[in-house]
Amino acid sequence: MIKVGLTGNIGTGKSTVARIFEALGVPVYHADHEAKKMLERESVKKDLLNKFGLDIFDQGKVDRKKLADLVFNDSEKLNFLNSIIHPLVKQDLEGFFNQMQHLPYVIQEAAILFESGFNKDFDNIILVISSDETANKRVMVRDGIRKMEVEQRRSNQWGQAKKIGLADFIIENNEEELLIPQVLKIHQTLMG
Amino acid sequence: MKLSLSEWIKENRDSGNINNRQQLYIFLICLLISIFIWFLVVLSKETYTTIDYPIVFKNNPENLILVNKPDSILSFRVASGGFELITLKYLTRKRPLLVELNKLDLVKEGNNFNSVYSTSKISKDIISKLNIAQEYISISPANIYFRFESLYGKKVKVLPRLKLDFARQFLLSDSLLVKPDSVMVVGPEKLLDQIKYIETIEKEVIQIDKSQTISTTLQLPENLQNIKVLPEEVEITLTVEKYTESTIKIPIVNTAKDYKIKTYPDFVVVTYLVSLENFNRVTEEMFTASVDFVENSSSNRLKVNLLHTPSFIKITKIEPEEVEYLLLKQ
Repeated sequence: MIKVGLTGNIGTGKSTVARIFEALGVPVYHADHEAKKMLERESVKKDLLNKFGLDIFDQGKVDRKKLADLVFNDSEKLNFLNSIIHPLVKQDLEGFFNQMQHLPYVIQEAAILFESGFNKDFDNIILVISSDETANKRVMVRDGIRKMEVEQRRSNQWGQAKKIGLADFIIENNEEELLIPQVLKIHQTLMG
Repeated sequence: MKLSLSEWIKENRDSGNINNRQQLYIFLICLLISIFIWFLVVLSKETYTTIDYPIVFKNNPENLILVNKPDSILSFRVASGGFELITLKYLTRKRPLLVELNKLDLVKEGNNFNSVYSTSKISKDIISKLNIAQEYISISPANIYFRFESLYGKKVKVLPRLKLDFARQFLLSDSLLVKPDSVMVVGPEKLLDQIKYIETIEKEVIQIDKSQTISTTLQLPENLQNIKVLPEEVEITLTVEKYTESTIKIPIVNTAKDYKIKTYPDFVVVTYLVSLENFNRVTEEMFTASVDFVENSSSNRLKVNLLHTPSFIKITKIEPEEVEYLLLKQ
């Protein structure tokens, strides 16, 4: 089984690409989604409470918006959060891979695959790219946030140029190039 | 050496010799006297001239309209002494001659009502005022011809012609209200048949930021001067509201019966203008976005259609307008 990492900076359209792979029958592990679920674990909540205090909690649950505002502006806090969540996600992912051993390939979607060093765990990396302008627009509409906030979040990610050199497959999601043919081409390659 | 008259006058005028100058003045005075005498001789002779009087037509007959263009100048060809003629032609005030159309004797011929008016009826008075023997006068034209047609009327719709320029964020919240929305046009039947509607004159209203009512006149089509419009003015009401721009994310639903279509993206972002009053009324449930799938289409993208939208908003943008798709087995 080939382990494929699917990554891309904020607003590039990773999720859309992941959904196309899913429609083709490829299992996709959504790391960011699973990471959010980890925030509900009692052990995680305890560590967050000790580090960030009660401010990030709302009725006993982690307020993800408040947490994001806190960590995206402070790299030390972001590193702390990653140090709690990443090992849990990695463990969960191993379980996912074990279940899918019979398939030709599986995909993990993650925003900070390179930044977290997880890329080494994959056989191939697919990188989704788009212009900052297009990506800004998508996130502003999706999350209802301002351009400045999108750029702030992007500043915690590596630049696209650096990632292009490390990726095995590049998908351009710029609204001019067709997305599905690019995905189909990669799918055929990975299926052998 | 011979000198021309102008050179001779110039030479004498500019010379310092007093005798030469006196000779020049005497010459000029004699010249003027000669011209005056010649003028008197000419004017004392009998001569011809034409004196024109304007004719005014009044009091149109009831339910009829004048459709031809009758002569509107009555010319008197007069023979008399020059002095008299100058007085008559240039110094006498020429009051317009009045013809009352409702007093004409009309003869029905087909659809028309015709009349021949002898100008002698109105020229008698002038001739007596001119104080010249009638045998020395000829009048043209001798007759004036009139052609009338019956008046018809019909109601036609008024179409407003406005160039509207709104201030930022202001738009019409309702269609233009024209009052009255139709007018009565009256005229010969043939001309009325050509009129399907009446437009207002073009008017530009700039920087509109509030509701308002504009009075404007109606514009008759060219070459239809015999048409009357009642009323000649209409009022146009513009109902204006302040709008704000907003966006909403709408999922694309699968409306195809025989196929399962997955679109990428699976939503569109709709940008719309909405009045402040209705801003909070807009919800996702009021919209339905769908794609048109045409079997055997070679296109890789499908156009997104909005099947339902609230009536009180104005859609300005749908993003993306087309989406990629996968056709899945049911």
